[in-house]
Amino acid sequence: MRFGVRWAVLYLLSLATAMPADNSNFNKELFAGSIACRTCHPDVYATFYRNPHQKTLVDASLTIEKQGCEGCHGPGKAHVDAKGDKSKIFAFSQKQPRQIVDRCLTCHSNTLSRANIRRSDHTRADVVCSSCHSIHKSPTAKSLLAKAQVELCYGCHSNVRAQFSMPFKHRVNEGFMQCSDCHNPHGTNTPTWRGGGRPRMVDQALLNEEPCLKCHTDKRGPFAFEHLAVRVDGCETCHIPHGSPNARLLKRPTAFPLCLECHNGTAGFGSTTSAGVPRQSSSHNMADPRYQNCTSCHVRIHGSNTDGHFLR
Amino acid sequence: MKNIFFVASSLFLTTALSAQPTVGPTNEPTGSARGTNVSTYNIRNSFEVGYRFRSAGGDVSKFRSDVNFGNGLRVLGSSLAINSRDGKGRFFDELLIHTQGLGNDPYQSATLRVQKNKVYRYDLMWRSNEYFNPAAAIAFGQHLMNTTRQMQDHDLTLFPQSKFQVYGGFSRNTQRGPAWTTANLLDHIGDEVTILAGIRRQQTQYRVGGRAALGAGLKVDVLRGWENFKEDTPYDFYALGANGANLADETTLQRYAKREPYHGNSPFWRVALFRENSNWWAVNGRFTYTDGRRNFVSDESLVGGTAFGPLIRQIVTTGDARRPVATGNLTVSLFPTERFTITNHTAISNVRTDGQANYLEFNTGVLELQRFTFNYFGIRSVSNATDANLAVTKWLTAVAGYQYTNRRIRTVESAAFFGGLADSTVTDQTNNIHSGRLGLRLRPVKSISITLDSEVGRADQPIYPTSDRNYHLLNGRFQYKTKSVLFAMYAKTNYNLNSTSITSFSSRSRSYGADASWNARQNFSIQGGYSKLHTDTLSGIAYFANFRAQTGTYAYLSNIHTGYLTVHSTVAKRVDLLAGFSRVQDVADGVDRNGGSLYQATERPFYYSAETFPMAFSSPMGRVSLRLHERLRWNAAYQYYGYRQSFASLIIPNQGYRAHTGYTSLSWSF
Repeated sequence: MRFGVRWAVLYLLSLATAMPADNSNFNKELFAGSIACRTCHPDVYATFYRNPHQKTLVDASLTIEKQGCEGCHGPGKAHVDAKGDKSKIFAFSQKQPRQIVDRCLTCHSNTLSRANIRRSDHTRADVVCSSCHSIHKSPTAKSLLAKAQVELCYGCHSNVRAQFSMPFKHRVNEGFMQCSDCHNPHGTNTPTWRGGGRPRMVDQALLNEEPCLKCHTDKRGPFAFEHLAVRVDGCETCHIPHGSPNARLLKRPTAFPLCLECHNGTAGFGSTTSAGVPRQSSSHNMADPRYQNCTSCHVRIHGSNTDGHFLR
Repeated sequence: MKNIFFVASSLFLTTALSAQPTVGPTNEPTGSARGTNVSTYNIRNSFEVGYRFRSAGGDVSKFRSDVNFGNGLRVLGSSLAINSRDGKGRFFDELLIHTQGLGNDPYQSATLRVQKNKVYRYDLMWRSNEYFNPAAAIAFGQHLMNTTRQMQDHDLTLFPQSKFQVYGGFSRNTQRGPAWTTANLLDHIGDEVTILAGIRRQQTQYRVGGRAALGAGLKVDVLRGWENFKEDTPYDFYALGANGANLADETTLQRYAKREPYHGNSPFWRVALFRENSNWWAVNGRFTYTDGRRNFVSDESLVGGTAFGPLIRQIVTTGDARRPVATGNLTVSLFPTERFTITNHTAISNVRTDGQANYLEFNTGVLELQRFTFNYFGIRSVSNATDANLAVTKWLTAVAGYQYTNRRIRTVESAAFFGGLADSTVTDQTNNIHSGRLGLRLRPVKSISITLDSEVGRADQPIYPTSDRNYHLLNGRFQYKTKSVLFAMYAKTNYNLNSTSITSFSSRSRSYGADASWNARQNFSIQGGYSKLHTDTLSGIAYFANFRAQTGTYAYLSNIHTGYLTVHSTVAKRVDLLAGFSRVQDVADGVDRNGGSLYQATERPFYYSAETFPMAFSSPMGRVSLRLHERLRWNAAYQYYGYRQSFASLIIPNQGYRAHTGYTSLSWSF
């Protein structure tokens, strides 16, 4: 058995390192080679070694159609012969959004994080690869982004920029976090919380959890007594994740209306369909400010192991 | 060389145009030509070292919660990039290091990437956050936190360009530091005491996986991982007969201690099969399974006194909780023509949480209460979405979609006292959500794009009165963009109505905004924007006041205006100037209460009028960067933070503050 496993591992390793050349059909005569591009595009060529796509230039196992400039821009001989006619080559600036996605996915489809790009809200809104990535003039060290990530996102999501300007916010403007910590701009699977078409583009962390729990690990549980709101409709039931004028990113400045809006005992809501979401006890005198801070006593509001009312 | 100039200027502009830039790092190139060649490598390096200062008045705790920059010397930022020019480096072809705020800032991070073509790629991200929150508006400040959270992620991929790849990773997330919390101690009507908690939490994750190309464009990706979590926060309190927050209660507390180790692990699997690079179809299937388990023991003991004499109490709880989660996703996309795309996505999720707790209470040496509780909480949801995208013409695209979700929630609650038979309560709830989407994309000319989107949804059994039930969203966006000018406007509305015969809930949020930027020349740019975020909600509430049941309507109104303006200019190629201003103001209903109380401690009507919380948060800033030498710059920056609130009450104190922050630094780069 062990012998077999060893051979299997060795076989896979040999597959990995050998990586046989692609035998797809193409006409070599249509290609000019990347050296020819240098003549008219010396600025791009001179620093191309800083570009992750340089890998395609130095990989001898790749066929010419996947190498260097023509790996993305297609056969360039006609373009050279026509003295730079953009219509004779795959010029991204001249193409429709769908064509750009298709072209990039020729190589960039091997990562699971991009497996939902076709149905992502970005693609549907014609926000495609070249909308955010600048292949030749990127100022960022990684991912070839056209700008710093937060500025890219703010460019379209002005309301989100406004939310991150609030007194309470996640530290995105401060550079501690990035939008992609919680969102996948390339599309996501349907989340395991809430329902309908939202939230959109929110990536699942830890495989099937809300991204909040990636950092706020103590809220994940499981707990013997779960607060249903956290698992069913998600953290957004009580919090505004980007930014809020209220402490701890809460939807309301004070705790009691936030709680009482759900805990009003109205029939038809909650898992107990007849009694509604439990209303507060008659021992709570809401005229007394001491009772208006619900979490003073219900300290384990995200979930508790010892008390169904989250008191300890 | 031209490209180097462009990269340098882009980097500069990127920083200059930040919406609400924080003071530092400067992150500007110091010289025109960056990078030097050593052997077959090109090396670029920069770092900025400086002193940050802060002077804050008013509620400094609130300032620390919002901003938290302090005094001290630090490496404001640094970066190092080493690239192999021929792509055939001996040990690596690319090495990137980027740091921010190392040494003293509340927000510190470092990233590292090392890779060798075709052999390996290693990524490291390390972050540290000093988090302070006075929680003055939550629990009277009794839940203050002053913790440090540190996160690190390591990812290694072997043969990253190959058809067969192996990858693995390690992540750790720790949170430590002092905090206050409250314990409800001696009686059921509530008398909470503030106690000290030394937060100690740690999550660790190991993962290993592989992906392989199966042929015909299909890829398989398998991931196996293990996540461990442990919390060992001690809670302590010592005093000579302290009263709790309830002054009407005569009980006192002398000593309190609680230990509740909470440990567990969540092993997980993910298997995915996908094909995305086809001209006429794509498929993406994914299955995940996580088995979360947590074991806990808590020992809570206290010594105090009541009107009837001394009290010694001990509560011991043991138990465990388990939550297996299984999800499945399948997306099929078809591209029958160049202009038409249709995708169908099915998602299944099954969450089962069960847990048991054994509760033992000893009261002044006598076993007073023994209780066993068991809880089950399951969520099963099935969702199917179909979207179609049709490019009618080159300038017009129509989008339409429909999604159906069925969600079933089931709970079982059992409790038994003194070993008696458990009394179980079983509840069930099923919710069906139908939502439809319609949108248009127009691009009449290359520089103009118009996006219109709408979504309408109906749910027949939402779980909460505030959940989506009868909702619709409308979004519109206009953008004009050329190489030097950007102008964009947007409007969004989100209305939700969730009413029953007894109570009602309506939520309306609207936001409008416009942004514009103009890069006049390489040495001058200006950017500004305005947004208005409006929210008003109306909800039915029920509560008790002076032992009398009350019902009523709670209204919340918020009208937040935000604006920003940033101007950048370069003078004589030696001096860079940056000035910016941002302001957030909730004008609410337009009435400045100037510190007046919103609440009246009367029985009934204190929820009736619309609650509003007018406040303003503004932050002007300026920065000058002077080139001393081709590789050396001197930088100085100033940023003011001001927070003012026009409300206060017994439970929300006035937390206004003013803070002057800034730094002076030297940055060196090549």
